[in-house]
Amino acid sequence: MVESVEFPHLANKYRVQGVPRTVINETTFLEGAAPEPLVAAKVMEAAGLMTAQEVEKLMADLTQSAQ
Amino acid sequence: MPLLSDKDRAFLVDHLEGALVGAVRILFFTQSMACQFCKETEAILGELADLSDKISLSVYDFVADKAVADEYAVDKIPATVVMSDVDHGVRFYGIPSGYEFTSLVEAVVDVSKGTTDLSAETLASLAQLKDPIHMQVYVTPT
Repeated sequence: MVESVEFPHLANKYRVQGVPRTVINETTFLEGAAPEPLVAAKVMEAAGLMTAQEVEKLMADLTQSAQ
Repeated sequence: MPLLSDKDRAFLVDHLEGALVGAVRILFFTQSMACQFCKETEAILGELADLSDKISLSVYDFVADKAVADEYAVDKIPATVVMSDVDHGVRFYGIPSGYEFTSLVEAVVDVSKGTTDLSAETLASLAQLKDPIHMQVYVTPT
């Protein structure tokens, strides 16, 4: 956890507007609360073990199954 | 005046008694001046540590105890480290107020159990990781 009001320079650095905003390894981002499979996928994306497209597909599948 | 209401305190004492397994160490890094919520954070952590004998709190001065801060890679304050006898890399930077207090309590529980509720699928994915992953969750006070 990093509390944005106390660390505005970091909030600026990572362009935090809405919270929560998760930053993984500096350049992979996740907006808002997210289900566990999506968080795991974003970690894999940051590690270079999943592509952004694969993560987007997962996100779409999760959204669809939630409806 | 305590921050937790009697009702909340009673609930948490009960919750933690049922949930905690091993001892949890909370390391708090602070300083007396030029720190927006250091005092309030220390008060919150003091009340948290009071909720169970399994939780201990150590308070360090960011400047005077720089060697300890460096050991835990703490580079900004207020900083809260939640660990068992192992450092799992759990850090709360800034005041853990509002909803984040719940996150802090659940971090204490997870660290105490040494396990999480992550699914088998997630664990299988994470087992493939070779390099360190740094996750920062930016929040605002509630």
